[in-house]
Amino acid sequence: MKNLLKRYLPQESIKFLSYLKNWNHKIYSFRDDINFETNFSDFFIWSNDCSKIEFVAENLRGLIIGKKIEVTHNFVFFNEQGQFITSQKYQTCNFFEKIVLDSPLENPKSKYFSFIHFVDSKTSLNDIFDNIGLNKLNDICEQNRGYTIYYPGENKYSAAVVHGNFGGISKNFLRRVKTNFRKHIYTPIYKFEGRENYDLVFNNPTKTNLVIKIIYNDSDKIINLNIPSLGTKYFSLSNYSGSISFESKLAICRALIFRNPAPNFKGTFDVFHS
Amino acid sequence: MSSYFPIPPTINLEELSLKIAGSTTFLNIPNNRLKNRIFSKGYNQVIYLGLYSLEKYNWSLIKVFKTSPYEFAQVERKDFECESNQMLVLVPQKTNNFPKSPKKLPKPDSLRIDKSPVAERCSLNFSFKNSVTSYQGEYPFEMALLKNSSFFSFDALKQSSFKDEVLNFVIYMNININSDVRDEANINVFNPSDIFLKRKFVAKRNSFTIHRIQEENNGSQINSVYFYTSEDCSFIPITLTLNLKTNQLSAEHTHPPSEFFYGLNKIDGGRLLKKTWL
Repeated sequence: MKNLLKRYLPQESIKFLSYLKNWNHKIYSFRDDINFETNFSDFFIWSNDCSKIEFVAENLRGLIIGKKIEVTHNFVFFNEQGQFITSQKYQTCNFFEKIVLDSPLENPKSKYFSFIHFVDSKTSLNDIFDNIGLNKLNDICEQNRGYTIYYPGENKYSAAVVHGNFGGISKNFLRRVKTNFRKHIYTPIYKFEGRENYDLVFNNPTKTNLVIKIIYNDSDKIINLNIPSLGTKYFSLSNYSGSISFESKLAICRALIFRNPAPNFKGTFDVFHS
Repeated sequence: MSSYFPIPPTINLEELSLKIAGSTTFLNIPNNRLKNRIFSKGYNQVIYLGLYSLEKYNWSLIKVFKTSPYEFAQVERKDFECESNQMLVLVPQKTNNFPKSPKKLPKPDSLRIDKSPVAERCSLNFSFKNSVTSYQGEYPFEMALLKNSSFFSFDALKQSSFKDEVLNFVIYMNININSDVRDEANINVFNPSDIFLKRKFVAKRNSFTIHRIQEENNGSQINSVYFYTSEDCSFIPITLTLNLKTNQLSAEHTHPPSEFFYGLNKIDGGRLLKKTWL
């Protein structure tokens, strides 16, 4: 039956049926607008208490053809409430560029907020794929994942790095991550230690308000965070040992975890995706 | 997709007579699941972890950990007699029925209880003095079956070093279920602006290969990003940095090349990058 359907149904119908199969577990909304000119950016976290933040950005155009191509790396920042703050641009032709980001707020009030990364260039991915004869490679677009390097103190060489994790936001702010009808519970496989302090930072890449319930699995405590679209909220955790779960309408809900967050001069800082 | 949970290596800092220690933390809970419907049963699965080491002719079961729901198991390499880079791996299963000396690693059971998107993971930890760095990692079962594979990565996560204040390492992790697979594979290192000046070093299959970044990191090229490729074997590369002044540690893996793309055909995108650089 499955083979018969695959044989006689149009490709788009097969894709839609496949999407419906596990619709309550889908991370992204159904879309047919993926092409070389669109992009998916992860939703990265800015920490205002760090002395410096760098971003490792990739030049996909150069990497594909194996030659340096001038590109502009764009960063767009949103405040805690999800409103646009500012943007920054950096031109380079390197395959990878470690970019020192400027602090987006002169008088920072928020401890954490979020940003996206995307690439502009006179040389489009469409042209590149055309030139190398791969214009039939469809249903694919650029994904801007990147790595953020956080410097928690004054030492210029003391930092921790984390890769991009989740986002699906395009350069024109199209938000593809969807909320589901049924809730999921995500549990990082991590043992929180009572002697350490943690900031659990969540941002909301969806189009709607997002409620996240933080569940202490080894006590009865529950914390609720309400995050506007493109906004960022955090919860400070201390004096607790054990595991933590996150309940939300996202198919997968991961926090960025700062262990002994900045400012930290003791070398005990860490950052990782849960 | 089920996964193996490796125990990270010990990194000997010979000039300092100190070590960076590796450990793995497991928690018995599916890391993503649908919220229970009313009246549905809670999670009550006991999980056994078989700890295997790669010995001369076979895998050897050295300990079994039993974990109840929501219970942690912490496995530290220093608690076992083994080489610093010898492959130690946890195999999760729902029954305590581990073979003692198999030629092939048993298949790990999946912890999934529904169709929620998940990568089955544990915490891979490195510690030095009072500092600990962790990341959520795993070694996918399908990857441990590969016979012919290739590799493309880069060292852009290394940190600038100043008067040897920072040590940078890339740890190349490879697991194959077959204990006979332990031959060497060449890894090419080159500056992508000068691809004809390639150096090679040797990495081992079914092992951790610890590469200290220093020779690439001198003179005017201090911040150049180097590429690492192999035509013979795939690895999970972990960049580990240590600041000797603050003791700050950092560990993170780089994304595989297919992650530069999104869409049904993202694997083709990854192949395209490998074709350019391999």
